[in-house]
Amino acid sequence: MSEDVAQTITLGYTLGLGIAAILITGLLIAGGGFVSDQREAAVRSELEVLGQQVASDIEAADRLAVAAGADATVSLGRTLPQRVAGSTYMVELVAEEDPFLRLSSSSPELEIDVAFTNTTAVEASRLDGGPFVVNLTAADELTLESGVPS
Amino acid sequence: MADLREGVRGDICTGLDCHNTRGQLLIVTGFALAIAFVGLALILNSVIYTENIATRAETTTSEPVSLTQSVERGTEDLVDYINDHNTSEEGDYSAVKENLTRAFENLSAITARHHLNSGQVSALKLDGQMEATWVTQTNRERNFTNNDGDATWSPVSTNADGARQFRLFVNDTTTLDGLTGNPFTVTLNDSANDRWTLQVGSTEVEMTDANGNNVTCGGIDTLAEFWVNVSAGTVAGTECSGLALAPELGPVQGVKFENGANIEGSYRLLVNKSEGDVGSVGDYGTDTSGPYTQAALWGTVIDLDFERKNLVYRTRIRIIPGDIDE
Repeated sequence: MSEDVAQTITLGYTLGLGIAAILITGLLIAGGGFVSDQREAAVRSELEVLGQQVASDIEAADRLAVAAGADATVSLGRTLPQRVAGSTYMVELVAEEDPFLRLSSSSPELEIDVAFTNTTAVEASRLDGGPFVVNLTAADELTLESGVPS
Repeated sequence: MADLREGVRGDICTGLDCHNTRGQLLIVTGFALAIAFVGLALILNSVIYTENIATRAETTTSEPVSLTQSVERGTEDLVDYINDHNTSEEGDYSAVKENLTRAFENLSAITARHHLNSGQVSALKLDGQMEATWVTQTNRERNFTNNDGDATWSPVSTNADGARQFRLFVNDTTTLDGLTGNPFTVTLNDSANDRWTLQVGSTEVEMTDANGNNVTCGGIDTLAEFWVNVSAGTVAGTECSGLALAPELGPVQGVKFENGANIEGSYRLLVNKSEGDVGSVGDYGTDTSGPYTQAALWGTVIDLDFERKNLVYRTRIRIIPGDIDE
């Protein structure tokens, strides 16, 4: 620029900094919000997938329990990830009249329910992520326990 | 300072040669956003991986079920074969049990080897063999009286717990009496004293089930000899739909023959009772000229154990071949 500008150097700096600050702030807020939304969607998607896997294991154990009859041993295991998208989570088997699975994460706080069909009765149980096993108890009920099949 | 424009008065450079542009704020912001998006990419990558894992068929539970079914079929065949080919002496259950034990060991070894090839472990164990008795007459030139010649007698007089594989062969149809006369009659009863009756007449065969319903099957009046196979539901090789034991009839407890002099041929019946407890004194002889009994097996119990990665399955199987006749 020539030396015939109308504003002073200080004013130019101030305006420039202000515009830059507004622009940067807007970018960070939008970017942060976008990442946060996507992380929440990722956690929800992973919980749904893990819930379906656990449900399929329960249904498989149920089929085996029905085929085996009384006084049988059925123990079906799987290893779940310890965290989903960096968040810890819990898996709960809700033993109501129509039982279902409830998966809940800690950060972000999300909760999803996964239904399954069963013939054998189920026992209420909770566990964290990691290796788990669907066991047929001595009372001929299916339950979720941490550990490996035995 | 964070200049945004080229060639600001006071810089050491002038004109279009100035390369002294600085944008620290923008570049720092760019770094921050880049790091955030990289983190997002990692999160999305884990989601893609999880969903990919979900599409794999990992939960298969068909192996233990198919193992159970194959062991059931194999053991049923073993029991039937051993029963049909038993040549042991009267009352000798040790021989038939030993035969089944040895044959089952082979079945167990083959099964275990087959599953080991797939990284699975299976173990089978015989746990109890149920004694039974063949009630039979192989001399086709003889009537169906007992060893003492009584026409009305009970081949199974005590409380049995089932009967199966009942069939009889009429060697000479001229010995048969008509249904309105005194035909040969077999009566089976359960614990509630419900009865199933079979009458073999000269022109037709009639069954009366536990509810009193009659079914008649003919086509035998021109035959010189014929089979009546209750288990298979056939008369002279032709299907006779009412021949099977009625579902309302529980496990057979007693078997009675009447008018045994009005029929000639052979018969065979497997009864769920030990040999010494079947019939009364004088009913059976010790040779094959008349009716006699022979040791057999009713069934067995097997402990099945199946293990593979992430699955343990144990159950107890009760094997009773052809138990629909019970």
